[in-house]
Amino acid sequence: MNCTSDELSFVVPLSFEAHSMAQEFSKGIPSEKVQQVYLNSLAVYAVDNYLRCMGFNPDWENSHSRNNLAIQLMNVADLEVKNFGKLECRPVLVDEEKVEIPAEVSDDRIGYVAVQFDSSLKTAKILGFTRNYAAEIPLNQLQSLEDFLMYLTECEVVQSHQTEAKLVTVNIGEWIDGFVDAAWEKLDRLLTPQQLGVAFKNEISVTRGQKIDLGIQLDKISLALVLKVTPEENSNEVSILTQLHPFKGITLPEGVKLIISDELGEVVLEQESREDDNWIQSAFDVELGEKFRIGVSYKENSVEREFEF
Amino acid sequence: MNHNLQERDDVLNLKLQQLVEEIKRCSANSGSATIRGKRRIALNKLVNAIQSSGRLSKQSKWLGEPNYEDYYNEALQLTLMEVCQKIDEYNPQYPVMAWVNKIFNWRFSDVRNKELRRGFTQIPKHQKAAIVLCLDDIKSENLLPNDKSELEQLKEIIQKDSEGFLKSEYLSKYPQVNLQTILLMLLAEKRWKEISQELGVPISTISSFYQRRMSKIIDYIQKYI
Repeated sequence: MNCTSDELSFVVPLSFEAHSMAQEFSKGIPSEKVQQVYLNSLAVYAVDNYLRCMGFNPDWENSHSRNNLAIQLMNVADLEVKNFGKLECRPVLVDEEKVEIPAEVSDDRIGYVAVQFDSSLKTAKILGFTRNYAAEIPLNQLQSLEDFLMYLTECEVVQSHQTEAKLVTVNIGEWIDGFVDAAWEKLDRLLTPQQLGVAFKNEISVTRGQKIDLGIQLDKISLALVLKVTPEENSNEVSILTQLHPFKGITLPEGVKLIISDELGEVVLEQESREDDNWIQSAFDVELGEKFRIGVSYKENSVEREFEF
Repeated sequence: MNHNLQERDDVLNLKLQQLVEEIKRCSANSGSATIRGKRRIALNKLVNAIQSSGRLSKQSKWLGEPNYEDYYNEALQLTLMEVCQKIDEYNPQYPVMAWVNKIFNWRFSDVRNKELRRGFTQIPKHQKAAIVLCLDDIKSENLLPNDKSELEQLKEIIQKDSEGFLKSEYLSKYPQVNLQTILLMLLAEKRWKEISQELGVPISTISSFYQRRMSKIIDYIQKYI
């Protein structure tokens, strides 16, 4: 971040509401810690306000910074953002050149936001953020608020896609009858001709796939989850072949998992990609009326789809 | 009106209108993160431009009020929130600042009425109303009541550790380092660096161990408060 005036910032005026909350949280706090608790509260208040202005859904109520006991035991200024994790809101005074992040909040944060105050405490200026923990960060090395808004928005969109897809149970019986949910595409839209050649040819089966995006930014990977459903003759069963390919790519990253589980979430089959695998697959049979789930995971990120026949 | 001033207002309005148009072009419900993100960036720019426009109402009608500046800030904060939330309802026939100031005037009287009412009904006579403190006020001990008894009670609960939970949670490689030890050191205002040196465990190891158990610690201690 350069200190030019074009740099995006956000100034929150602080008055009765902000200060009465900070005073409320400072009650009963030993005097050595009062300034810390007071400024932490104003910082979280400001970021909460900023996020709501920007149309996000912060949940301060359920954050440690709102818990009287937690603020005595930790130097904490966290703000839960619904469905995607905690931000840590760190106060900086106007004459300071770096933001300090206490060790007890180094884990479990999606980012650290720097909030600047002058000695009047009548405004809070949101300066920028960083995704990764460091004990202190010079203000001129913070990422901009443009990056911050893009990053949080990406978290939000990934999250909402995953929630939507998770809610529907896909009925593969209907696939055989020729009704395929538009979320499941024909394979030529997901795979290259080379990938198609080795993967799926033939018969009376129905084959569909879906693009799966896992993770965000640096950890982001795109995969094609493919399902081939073949009715078994004279039987109430279908056989399922499911494969995971790189989306329009050649090899899978190492450590991608394809997990088949039953209705209760019990894992039935699990495959993991090794170095240079072009795809991984699992095959199994499903009886009429049975439900199953296919999960895809890579590092800490995972998605799951539910099916029934 | 002075010709130059009029011209300046027109330039400002054009700039603000362009930002509003950009916001409206990018739907808040778009499935694309890029579009939603762009909307937010434009919204942030709009708020900055409004605040630095020099055209926000001075609310001069209320200049004589004792809490004028605090009313002003409270009302402005509410106004900016409302502008962000209702931006799609803005009618471009009117200048942006006229719309913003109309909201600002409403919020100013709301805030003033609310604070006056609160002053009459809720605040005991000898106590000051909620006030906006500055950094020096916070540093001076008299302004905020601080009570050592809560801290003492907390230390006692941790020392007693009635169910033995705090002692039973220890670092696997350093069995002498348990939650009770860490908590007591923290409450004695020791910094992580000192704690790490005294116990001979790296800061990151010990602080990770501690913060991962925070929710459990809270649930446990809460039972005895």
